[in-house]
Amino acid sequence: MAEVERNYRRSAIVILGVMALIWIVLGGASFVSERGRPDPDAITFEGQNAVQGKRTFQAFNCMDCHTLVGNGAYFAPDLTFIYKKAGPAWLSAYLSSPGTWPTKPVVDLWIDRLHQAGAPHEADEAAYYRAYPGALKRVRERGGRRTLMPNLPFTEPQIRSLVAFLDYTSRLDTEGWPPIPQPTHAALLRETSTLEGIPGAGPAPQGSPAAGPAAAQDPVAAGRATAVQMGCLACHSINGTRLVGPTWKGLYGSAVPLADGTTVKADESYLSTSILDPNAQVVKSFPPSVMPPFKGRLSDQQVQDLVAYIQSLQ
Amino acid sequence: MEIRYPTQRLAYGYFLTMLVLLAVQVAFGLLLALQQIDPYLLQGILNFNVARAFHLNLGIVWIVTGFAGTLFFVGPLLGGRDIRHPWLAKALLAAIWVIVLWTACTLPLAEKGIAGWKFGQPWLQQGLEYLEAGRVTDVLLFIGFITLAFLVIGMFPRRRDWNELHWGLAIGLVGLASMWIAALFFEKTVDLQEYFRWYVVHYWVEGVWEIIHISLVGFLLAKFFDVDEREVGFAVFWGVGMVALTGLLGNAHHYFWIGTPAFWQFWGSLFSALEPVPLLFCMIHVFLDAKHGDRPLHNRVGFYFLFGSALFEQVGAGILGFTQTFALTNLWEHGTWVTPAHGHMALFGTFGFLVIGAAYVAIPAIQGIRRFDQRLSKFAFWTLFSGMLGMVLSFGLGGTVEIFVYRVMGLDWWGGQVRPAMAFWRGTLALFGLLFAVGIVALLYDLFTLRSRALAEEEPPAGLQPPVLTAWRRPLSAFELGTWLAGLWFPGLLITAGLFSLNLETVRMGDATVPYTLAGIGYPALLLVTVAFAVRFLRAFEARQAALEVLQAGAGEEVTLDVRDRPMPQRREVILGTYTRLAAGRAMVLVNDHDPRHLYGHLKHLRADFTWRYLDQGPEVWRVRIGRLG
Repeated sequence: MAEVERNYRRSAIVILGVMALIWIVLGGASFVSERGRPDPDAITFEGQNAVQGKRTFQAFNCMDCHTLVGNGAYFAPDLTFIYKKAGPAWLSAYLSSPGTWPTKPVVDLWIDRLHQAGAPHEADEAAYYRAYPGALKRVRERGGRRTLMPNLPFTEPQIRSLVAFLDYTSRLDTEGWPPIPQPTHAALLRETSTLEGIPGAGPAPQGSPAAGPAAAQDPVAAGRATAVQMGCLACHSINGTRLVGPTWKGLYGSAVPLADGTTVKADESYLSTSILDPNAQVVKSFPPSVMPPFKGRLSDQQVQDLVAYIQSLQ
Repeated sequence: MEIRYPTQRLAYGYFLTMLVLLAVQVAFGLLLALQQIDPYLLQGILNFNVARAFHLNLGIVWIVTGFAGTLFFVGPLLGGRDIRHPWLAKALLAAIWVIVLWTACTLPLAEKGIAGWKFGQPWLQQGLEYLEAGRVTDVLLFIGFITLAFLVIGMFPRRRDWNELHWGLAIGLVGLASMWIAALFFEKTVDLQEYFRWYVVHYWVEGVWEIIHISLVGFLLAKFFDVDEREVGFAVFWGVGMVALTGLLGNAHHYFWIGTPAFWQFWGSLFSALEPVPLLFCMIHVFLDAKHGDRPLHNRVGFYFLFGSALFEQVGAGILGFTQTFALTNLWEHGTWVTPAHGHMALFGTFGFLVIGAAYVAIPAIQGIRRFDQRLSKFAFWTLFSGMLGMVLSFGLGGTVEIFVYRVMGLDWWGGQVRPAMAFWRGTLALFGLLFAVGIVALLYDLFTLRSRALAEEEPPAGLQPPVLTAWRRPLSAFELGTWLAGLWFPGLLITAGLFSLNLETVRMGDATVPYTLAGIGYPALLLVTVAFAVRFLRAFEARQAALEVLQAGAGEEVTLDVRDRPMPQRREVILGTYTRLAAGRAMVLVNDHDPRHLYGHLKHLRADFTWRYLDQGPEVWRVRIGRLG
């Protein structure tokens, strides 16, 4: 080998060494504690922290449909900042039954529930929707409709951990990615000021305004309307398919095996109790605490209508 | 290429395994394309994320299996000895199957959210893109990489006798195992997880795989065209050197938006933009080496795939990578379909084509087939080639629409606004995916039934005709090569400009004319020039090989030119006049009274493509057979 060539090669290797040094310095500077990176151990939601959430996120391989900080499969939306847009109540409602977009009453229920649990979240529904305009946009445009996502069987602690994890990711400083869209940004701000005109908006309905006068005469039709409005069918199928919760088809009058090993007959009293306080009697092989309690959210009439509707599904 | 050591035959099982895994990977790819069209397809049975995990992991496994097969095939030739522990090479192949089947059982657990957490590590599957498999698989793979390095380096001669090829492969194999260590830990934070994930993903494909790729390309070219080993050594050293010099800091392009500081944008934009330099260097060497050699290459399809590898590397990794490497273009395209346009072409093109090419060299050699009918092989090549280009077009233009609708206008994915906008390109993606799958079927059928297409060894083969040098078949000059490369880069720059234009105020306020026009011209033009260049290059290659074949067979009449009784000053003119009148594939016999070696230098200086063989070397009469190639 010529002397010149040998010298060239030697300098190439020296330059490479310098680059490796630069690399190590840059890498070190990226993770020093002074940068104030968000700490996933410290970010919690209802007793679950973001590290547990990261484990859940990985266990379900979310990254091979969604993207996170832009890395992933481009098949479903990026999740990095979804917490900032939709907030914990909407996420909890969504993750409980990811096959269907949550309706407003369900999100409202979660807002109340989080508020009662002492979470430092928004004091009331209006404040929540102001803080998380994306939640309002979602319930208004998609509420009750089928999503493209499979109905993954998240348990209740997993849901809480995922919310904590998405809270954590929304605090990452991604240096301006993704770029903020200009026109829609303005539109979003406009939308937050109005709460009218949303199906199922407002506090717990007493007279079931969505059902209408005709439905009031027919308890089955009224029950179906309530089921749609409250998003029940996201988790309970009416054709025998197993979704997140037990199917309603053939449920009425059947013998239901419970998690504690006993069996109970699915009569009117069992069904009403299960709607108002789902954790009282959990069905065997279904996750506890995923369904929110509807006590105080449904009138007695609505519960009776729902039971009548379930009874009609034989 | 020949079998000189019995253990070279161990490569056979690796190549068959590689082909089977490749076919399964493509089947999953087709399923993904259909799920893109109908997201409910097989939902709850085989969810998109699980199918994609299969698609990605199989893609890595079959390429690494192909690498292993190629290394076991060429390793004995490089080392001048048999594989030391043949049983270990067999065990490694069995281990690949065990790992693949085990991982195939664990990946679907993602649908139930079972990762197998124990000691803080996910042992069954871990849901990280490209690294979806669990810790059990990771550890087994780590042992496998060490075994592979041990087996291959164990064949090499003593250290001081190593040339650049030995060093390249050794660095590549040690790097393969050592970079994998970054895949063995669970990170609590997203930024650190992504930081180390790219150690594996980037430093593999843009680092050690690339180094192995350059070394293997160098070796294969040397074998195909009898290139001097020192010349190849020079190319391998600087190829590897430039990959390291640009790729080491080039990895910074993965750290723009993952929660790491903004200074990465400077380093990533700068060095990553230089990453195409070694790829240009590689393309130029393929061009130079293909002009070497005066024996015809029978196994032309092996070179087709090797050339395809260099070209797709140039276009997919070099040009499409360049378009998205700047912080201000990456800001827009990151996390959209524009990324897989680059990823598919770069990964399959560069590494896939190389190992398929190696299979086309090794399988006939192992089966003892010296000549075979290559029409089906070439059909497979062109189908895979155009299928991939069509998929890239779909991803590129679909991604451009996606960027505008999703990022610029801020319409919502969940609101059902982004998907319909991309619908057309989802359709073309599936169609071109189908075309690609046809190529895979042809490839597998061809390689599995190669024996039935073996040709008898006729010398000379019947019906040999010198090539007709049409405009597309005449030799490719260096200037023309430069023009083609410029023709590839110009549309690449249009695409880059299109991505830059998204930063303009008018575009951000909702006017898509500039980015749509630039991408709408850029992508189709880039891919059409790619096809045209491939056709041009390979036709010239075929014409040269056909001329060599005719010359070797000695078919057709020869001109004899005796210049001994001519006056010295006229001789060169007469000789060149006769040479110029020769058709490609024809030869003249020059009779002279001294060694015409100055004429040889003169012809080289004129960049003539010719063969030169002494029939008599003095002391009174020198007779040289000069064959014209183009």
